[in-house]
Amino acid sequence: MPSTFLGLQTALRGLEVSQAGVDTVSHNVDNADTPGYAREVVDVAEMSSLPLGQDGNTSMVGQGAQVLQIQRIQSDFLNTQYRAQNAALYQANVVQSTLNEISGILDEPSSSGISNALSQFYQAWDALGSNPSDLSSRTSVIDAAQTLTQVLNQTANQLSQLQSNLQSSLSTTVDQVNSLLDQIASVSNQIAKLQQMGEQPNDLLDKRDALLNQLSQYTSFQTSESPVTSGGTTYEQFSLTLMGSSGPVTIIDGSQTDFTNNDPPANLVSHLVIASDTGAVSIVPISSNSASSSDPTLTGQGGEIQGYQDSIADVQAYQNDLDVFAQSLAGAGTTTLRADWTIPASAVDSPPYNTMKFTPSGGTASETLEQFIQSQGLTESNGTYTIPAGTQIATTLGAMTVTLLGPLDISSATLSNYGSVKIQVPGGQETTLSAYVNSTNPPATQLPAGTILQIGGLNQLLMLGFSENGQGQPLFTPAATSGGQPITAANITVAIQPSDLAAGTTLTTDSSGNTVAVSGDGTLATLIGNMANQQMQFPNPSPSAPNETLTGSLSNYFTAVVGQLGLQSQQANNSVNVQTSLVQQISNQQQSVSGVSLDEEMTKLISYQQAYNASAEIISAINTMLTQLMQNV
Amino acid sequence: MRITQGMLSSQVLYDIENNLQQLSRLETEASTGKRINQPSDDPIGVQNVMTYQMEMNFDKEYQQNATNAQSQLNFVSSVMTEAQNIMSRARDLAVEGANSTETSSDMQALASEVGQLYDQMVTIGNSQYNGLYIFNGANTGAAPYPLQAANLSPGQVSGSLDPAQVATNSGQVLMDLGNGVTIPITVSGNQFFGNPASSNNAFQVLSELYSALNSGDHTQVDNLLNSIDSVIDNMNQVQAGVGALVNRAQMMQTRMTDLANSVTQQLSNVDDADMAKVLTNLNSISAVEQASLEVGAQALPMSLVNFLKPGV
Repeated sequence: MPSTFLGLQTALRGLEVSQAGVDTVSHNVDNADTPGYAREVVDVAEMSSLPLGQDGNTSMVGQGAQVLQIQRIQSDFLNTQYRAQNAALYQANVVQSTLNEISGILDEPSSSGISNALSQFYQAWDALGSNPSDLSSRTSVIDAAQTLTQVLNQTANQLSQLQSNLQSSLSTTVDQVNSLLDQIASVSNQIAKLQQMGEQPNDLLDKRDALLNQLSQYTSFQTSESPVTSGGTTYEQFSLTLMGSSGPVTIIDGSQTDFTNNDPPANLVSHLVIASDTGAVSIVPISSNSASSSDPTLTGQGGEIQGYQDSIADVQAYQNDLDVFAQSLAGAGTTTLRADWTIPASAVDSPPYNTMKFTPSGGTASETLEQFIQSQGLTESNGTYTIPAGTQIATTLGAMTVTLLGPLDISSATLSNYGSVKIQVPGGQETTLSAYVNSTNPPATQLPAGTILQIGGLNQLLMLGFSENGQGQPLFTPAATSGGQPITAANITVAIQPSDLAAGTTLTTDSSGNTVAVSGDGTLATLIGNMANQQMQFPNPSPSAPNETLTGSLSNYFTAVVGQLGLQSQQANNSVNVQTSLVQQISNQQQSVSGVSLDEEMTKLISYQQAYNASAEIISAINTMLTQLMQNV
Repeated sequence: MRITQGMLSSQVLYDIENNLQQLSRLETEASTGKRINQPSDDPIGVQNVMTYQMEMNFDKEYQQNATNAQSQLNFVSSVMTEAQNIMSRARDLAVEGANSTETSSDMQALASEVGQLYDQMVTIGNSQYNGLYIFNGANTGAAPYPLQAANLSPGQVSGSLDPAQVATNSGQVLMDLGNGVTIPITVSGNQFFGNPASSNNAFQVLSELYSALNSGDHTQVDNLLNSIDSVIDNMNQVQAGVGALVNRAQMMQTRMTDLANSVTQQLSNVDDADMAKVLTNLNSISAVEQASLEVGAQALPMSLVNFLKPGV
């Protein structure tokens, strides 16, 4: 037999349920714009019924409704999707902005970039060729060469600046990730703790989702939750893994969930540490603050970390392209390191490094960089190799075949320096310069016009010619401060007096008895002016075919580099567009599931309000009934 | 699909941002007048633009070279005409001197004029253009003929002072006219005035004429007429060659101008924005942008809240 007051109790539950409903609506409306918020709905269920009477009366009377839980509406599937695409979006964003910056630095097409400086350079030579004895033409060649090297230096310096900016951004990002991981681990502990106490920490779950969404901006990750039942309640152990070089690595270990908010929490077992200047990031145990070679490196992740790593590699690649350009401009040469030289380990296989020949100090055989690293037992440190001082380095780029426009006088200096240069006089066989000189009787003192020379580049060609001071001097040299390093875009300079610049190939004796160039002989200058179209061999700038060589002029090569940059930027732009629209779409779907609809909340508000009113009406009715009963008794 | 206010606002934002991006791109095109402002705008096109720009720079240089070559060669040619005038005058004097009726004082007068012609010829041999000697091949810095000889009578010059004995530089100063075409803009003195000590060396012939007239040797003067003719023939021939070079320079200049025009045309095809298209697109995009802003402004504040009155 149910109590007299059962109805009052039932109506009270109705009031409570409606109250909870109104509270939830209010909570939802308040958080309509809160990031990471998942709308909540009141999970209402019928209370169990009571038997109406005794003695075989099986009728049951209901006891009203109860709130089972306040449920968060969200989809794990969409969350995972969102995080994966968000990571890809942020990666694409970083790469896009880096490539935009590189485009800005290279500044092509424009009238102030490398391409224009190169064309001015060749034109200055051409002008000198027509007016070889004119001091101003000679000075303008030097000026044009200086402009070209300054543009190259500046571009290379801006690229290194960009490189170091990217490195510091990467470092900030890694700090950010570590801080987020720490927060996620600590929130997961609190969630488990509350769950274990039988509570439902919706706010903390929202907070963790928001943190995970934030984390997806920096890197992609995998999460898993495994329920553990103990003492009648169930809580979830939350784990997070990142992809390492040899498989997934646990960062937050759910089995270490300790319900405390330790600092750092015990469930946070690893964190990220930057391993090298080239942007490698290692996953190291939380107890350690530096990466060792045995630690796995973070690989194949999306997010800003991957974006910065890709960007660092891109910038390095464009720097290498510029170095190839600078070396090809100057031509082959040898230098001996006066100081140690560090080179990026990631560039060992790429041009121009793989085109250089290294001879160890005191050694005789020249080796490729890879052989040199092996034979000298060099080890990688902080992403770089250090080539010791005293090493002789030969650059090989810039070699070309030219045809003499006028006769070339052979001086004793020419013969001793360039005796092994391959030549082919018109109608003759290919031979070396010294063999040709000795094959004629008396020994030849001049190569005829039309002779084909295979020489190592512009500098060598200039040293074969003559200036008003005699034998010509090389035009391009590495800066004096470069410690004997080979020519790079950053250190290429012009350190030559106009009077040392060779314009011609024939000699005469001046009034004071010195051997000087014939003043009106500009055949060499004209030859160099025509080099704008001179074919050379270049390493392919495209990363997809690193071992191929391209044949073309120096300007063709640079044009190809810019074209490559254009293609890369276009791809980056496209992937940003695609990712933005994907994230937008998934975010819409997420919103569709978890977002607060004001219309819906208002409708619910009305129904809860009316239900509350109705329950109140019932209490009032029961009250009247009971009052009536009392009066009648 | 359940639609929420958050979805509406983020979608409106996304769309407006897309419109703005298109607007910004079109505005850049409209304000620079260029279709390619960054390599990524057209990776293939940018390579063409760079190649064409380089080619255009060179075409300008070559045009300038052709102009310079023409003016220098015209100067060379006019100097050559002058040299021929001297030789014709010498021939007239020789015809006069070959006449046996001329008295010895007449002959002396003729010889004195030939002496003047000789000095003038030496001066012509040392002609300079822009400070550079035009008859010394590639060695433009040095005078081909002894400078003092211009102030001496033919009888006084001998040994190293004798222009007739000078071997001039045989090189060439070349002017680059583009596409591998180079033309010489100086002449070797020996080529134009004749080889040293040969019978058709202008200085030698004038010198011999001078001494024949001086000594009143009518027969010798008569004999020299042939040599004078052969000197004039040679000079004519060399000058004709120079004329041909001027023509070539002119032709190359025309060619380079044509080429520069066609490259400019190609560059414009690749690089210039199609203004009609850009402006039309700009108009339509700004209309869309305006519409999306207005619709956003009207649709976003809408919800049931607007229609619920207090106390309902």
